[in-house]
Amino acid sequence: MAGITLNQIAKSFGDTEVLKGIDIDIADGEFLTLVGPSGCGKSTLLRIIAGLESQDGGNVAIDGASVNAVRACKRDLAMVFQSYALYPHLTVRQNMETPLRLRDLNFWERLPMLGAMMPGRRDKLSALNGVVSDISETLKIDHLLARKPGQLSGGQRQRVALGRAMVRKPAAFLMDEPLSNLDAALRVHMRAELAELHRSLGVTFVYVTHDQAEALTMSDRMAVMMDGEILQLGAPDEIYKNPQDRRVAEFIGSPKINLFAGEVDSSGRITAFGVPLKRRVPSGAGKVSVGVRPEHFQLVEDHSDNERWPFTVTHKENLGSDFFLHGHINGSKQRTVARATPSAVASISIGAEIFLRPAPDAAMIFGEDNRRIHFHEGAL
Amino acid sequence: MSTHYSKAGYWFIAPAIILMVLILIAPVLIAAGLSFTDFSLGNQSFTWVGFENYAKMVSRSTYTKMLWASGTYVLIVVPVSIGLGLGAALLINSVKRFGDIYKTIYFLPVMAALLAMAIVWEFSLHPTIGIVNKTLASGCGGWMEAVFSWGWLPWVDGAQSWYATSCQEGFPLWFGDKTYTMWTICFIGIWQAFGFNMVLYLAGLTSVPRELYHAAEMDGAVSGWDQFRLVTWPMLGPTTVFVVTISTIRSFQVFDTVEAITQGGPSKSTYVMMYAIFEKGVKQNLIGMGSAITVAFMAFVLILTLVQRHLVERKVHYA
Repeated sequence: MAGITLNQIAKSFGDTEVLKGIDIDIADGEFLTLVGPSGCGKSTLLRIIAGLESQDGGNVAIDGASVNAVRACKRDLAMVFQSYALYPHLTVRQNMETPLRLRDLNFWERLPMLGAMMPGRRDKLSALNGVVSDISETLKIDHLLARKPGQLSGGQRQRVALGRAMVRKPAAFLMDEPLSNLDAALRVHMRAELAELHRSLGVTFVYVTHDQAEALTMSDRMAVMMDGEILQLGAPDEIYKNPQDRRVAEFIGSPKINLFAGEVDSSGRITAFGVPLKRRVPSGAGKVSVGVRPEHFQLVEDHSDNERWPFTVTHKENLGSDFFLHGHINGSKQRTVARATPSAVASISIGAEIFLRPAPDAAMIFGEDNRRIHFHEGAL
Repeated sequence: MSTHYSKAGYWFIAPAIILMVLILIAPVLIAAGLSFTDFSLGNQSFTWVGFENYAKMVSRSTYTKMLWASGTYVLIVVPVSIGLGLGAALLINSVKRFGDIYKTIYFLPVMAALLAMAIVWEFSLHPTIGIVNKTLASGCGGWMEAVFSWGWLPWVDGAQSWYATSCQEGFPLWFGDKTYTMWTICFIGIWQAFGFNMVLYLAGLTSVPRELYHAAEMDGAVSGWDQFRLVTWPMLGPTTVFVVTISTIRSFQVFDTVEAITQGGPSKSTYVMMYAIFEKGVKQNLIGMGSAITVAFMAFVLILTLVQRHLVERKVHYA
């Protein structure tokens, strides 16, 4: 069990700067997710923590002690790879035993023939056999121990890879997109299982994914990375509700947030599609983006309200519990998605002209530099 | 489903079948048939001699020497050329620069015609004008003798060493002395074969997933030896099966060096099977005997391949 501290981690491959001074403090027992589009440097960061890659600058500390000069295998971390990286020629049991054999048996005891004659080897082997059996029971793979990875399904391989990471009882788990090779249903299932596993082990998890749903559902905190930088670090709820950067708002949330071009006048009033919003921001921001998440649109029936956008419905998407209305605001080319309840859209047909407005306080304003611009305190 | 099948399929495979029978299966069967006769090319007729040719092979000392020579050659060249090939491949794979230069150097002997190279080696190893013996002789009394007589090792008597005695009594006739000839031929065989094995292993190494090495590192495989045993060697399994099979067959087929340099001598010490087939079947026109050796040769290769498949198939993982 250990906390991990990253301090100004920098890394370049040739002329490309992949990491530009990353700072994160991962608490002991925390589930931290590094999320971002592919190529943002999140996997590189994880491999730097693991010690499989060396950083060009900065510090990695585990439990307060710098590990910059410590080899990967001595850092007491376990890693689960995207491809699982199971040894294909070994059975599940042998795969799970490998880390223990390498740690607990000495060079002579590991030799093929000679090893069997070494005193004390048998006790060690039965001890590590016990550990493997325990872990495989926890992961419900005890019936697969005699099989080889080639004879397992994706989900089973995933569990074996987890088991191989768990047997050593490491200080922290590092996971590099471990669910991305599974089918959709299994991925949702494993999400819950991994979160439960984390709760029961109480060990630090550092989890890399490009899937914002995984990040939102599993983590204690998540770090949204883009272009080698952490844009925002915080609890999933906070990141979703209160993104501090336009790119964060765009990346987190599905369907994507709707962004409209807007303008701020000298009094701080925001106008989008010719309609002024009720809330105001500090003046002088000039051109801004107005972001409204699909679920923050309201259908307007009260025609006395000024804050409303005319909306042409081009497509209705039925998700059972919800409907997504696709269409265009005020005749613009930009596709806008709004969420509504089935009862509310029952009377709306494709091609219908309706009115939408953002829920009170729900619109997010981003400046031209992508930074969030907060509303003035108090209404009007 | 209809029970009527069109016969058109046979027409499609007929050309392949006919060709295979004509140029592969028929010659083998004819050779097998001729091995029970005393046929010679040009004779009008022949008589069946039953197993006489095969009986000669086990009783006559010429043929037992032949089996010994081929066996020795295979047992030396195969393991050494595979070991060197794997070693060179691992080394080249680990260097960041000059890898291509090493590859070219080690692969050159494979590309060169062995017959031509055999002649070059014959000159190099010539007892009086050859560069090898001249170099060795020029080292006598100098630092080379001091070093390579191993006299500086506390448990070795330098004066009794190979180098020191050779300096006194002359350096060996590499292709004329029974004790050396087989080894020299093997050396040329290894020199020629290991580059090929190296290239096969290099190809095998590129297909080992990088993530497995990372997994091994995380699991605590610290030393190169641990990583080799846990990842590299098992992953090279299919390559090794292929390399062993190919090397064995090629070693059984050795002919050029023997024909060019020793003609099977001295006193049949390098009388390998291919050369025996050539000598009996072509030079002496004893087609019956030549065929018998050919059949035996084929049987050896077949048995070896089958044994290897059986032993190895269970152990090797094919991804």
